[in-house]
Amino acid sequence: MLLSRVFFLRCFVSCIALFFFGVAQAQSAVTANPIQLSVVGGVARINTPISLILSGSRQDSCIPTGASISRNQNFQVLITVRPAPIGTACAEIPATWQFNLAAGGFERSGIYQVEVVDDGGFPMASLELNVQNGEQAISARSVSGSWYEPASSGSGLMLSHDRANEQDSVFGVWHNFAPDGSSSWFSLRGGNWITPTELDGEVFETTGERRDGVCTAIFPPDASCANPLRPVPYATFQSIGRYQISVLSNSRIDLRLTLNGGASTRTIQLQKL
Amino acid sequence: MKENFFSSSISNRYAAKAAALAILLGIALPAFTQEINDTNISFSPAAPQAGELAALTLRGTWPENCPPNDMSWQQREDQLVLQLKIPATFAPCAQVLTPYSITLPAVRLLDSGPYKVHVTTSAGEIIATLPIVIQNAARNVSEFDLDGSWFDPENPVGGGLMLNHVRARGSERLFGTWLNHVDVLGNTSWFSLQGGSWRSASRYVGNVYQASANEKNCAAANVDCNKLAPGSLRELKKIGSFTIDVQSANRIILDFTQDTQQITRPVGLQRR
Repeated sequence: MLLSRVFFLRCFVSCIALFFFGVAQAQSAVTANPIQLSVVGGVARINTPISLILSGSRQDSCIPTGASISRNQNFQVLITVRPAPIGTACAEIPATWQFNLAAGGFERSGIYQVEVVDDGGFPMASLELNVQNGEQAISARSVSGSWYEPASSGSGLMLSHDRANEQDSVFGVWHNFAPDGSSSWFSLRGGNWITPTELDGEVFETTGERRDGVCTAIFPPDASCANPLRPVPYATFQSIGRYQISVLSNSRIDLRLTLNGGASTRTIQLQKL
Repeated sequence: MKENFFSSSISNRYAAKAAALAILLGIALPAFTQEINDTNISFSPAAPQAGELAALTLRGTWPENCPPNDMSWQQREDQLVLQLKIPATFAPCAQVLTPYSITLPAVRLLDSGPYKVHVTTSAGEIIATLPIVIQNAARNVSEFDLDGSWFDPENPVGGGLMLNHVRARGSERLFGTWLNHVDVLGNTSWFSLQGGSWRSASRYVGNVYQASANEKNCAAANVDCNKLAPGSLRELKKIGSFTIDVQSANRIILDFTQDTQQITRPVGLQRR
């Protein structure tokens, strides 16, 4: 009798909660905001024990109950998040969650891929952890893509950023116009990350094989000479200056180009296409 | 294009759990003790379209002779999870590499574009992550991500192709710059490649534009006459078309056709 009264009372309370709060049953994780990973102290350094903070939020009160971390030798880290048990009553009240994870020390610097999954193996987020080595910085984010300055459309920067594990190299092409109005380009190579957001490298100029005497002396002209799209072997390749890129955000960078001898361009404020 | 995750850590933990259970129950359970790195996915029909029912087959090699014989699948946005199921067995599992193949007869993905497929153990740990592409009946979708820089191995620093390829479910954009030397003196020149479409999953056709700017007055000191200074476009003139034939994730064939003269010369390019 007492048992049935207690059961009735619990049902009554649940029904009231359901009526007022729209209580839902806990299901697989529903993330309201992106899951974020941060390092306690701000910077992860090689051979130093690292504590990570994994945080997120939900649109209901059924926040995860814990998380565990493991990693392998291939720059991969797995964080498994335990959701609220199935059957938990969830009030429709936004709630945040946060877990501190002891990740231990990392023997190799570089870019670690962090996969966050629920306990069913379903991916919740793909993040990254940059472990710095104190000698050369690791970039904070990829700068791959096309960049342009609205005030000088037509000129632009195309960057290819090879960024995984211990790789962190940038190859780029700055394309602009010569004083006579014809198009010209320069390659950006050999960059070093001075800080996670400052890249410094060399600017190279190439020239193709001269075709005077090949393309002008023949009549009718050599058919290949009439095709500007035909690839031309290079004749010279030399460093003519330096470049500096400051990464301001995912969609904004500043570029500064300096010729050997000291003449610099103004700071070119580029946006991602 | 294939990534294998956490194999060693999974192996250890899974092996420990399996061993404990085996001792408790007095039966043999499959242990996950070796790296599995040949997992692959195929479809029938081979290139399924969005909304189309297709059979999905997962193949691989299991480290023991008790391989998985079933799997379940779930989808969340552009991610799929295939969870392997290993049969319980009372017989000991020998450590013999064993090929396995499991087919889900009816899988339907509603959006075209690239997806990531995570293959997991029954404990929820990822064995492999594989890319797949779902085609669209109305427009073709590229098989590979071409984003990056491409060069001619015969001419490694004398030019090349920079591609900006943005792929997402339901949308795709390809934009490129061909870097070359055009005049008789060998000065550099670039061409913009844009405004095209995928004619098949491996062939892209678009337009080639030549850009030019106003001539600068460099008689007096002028910071804009620094050869590295940015300049503004005056004219973008269409001069031809281009075709990219994708041979693999790291090799393409680029071909140009001028509007004025039908002159073409395919160039084999490799990813830098």
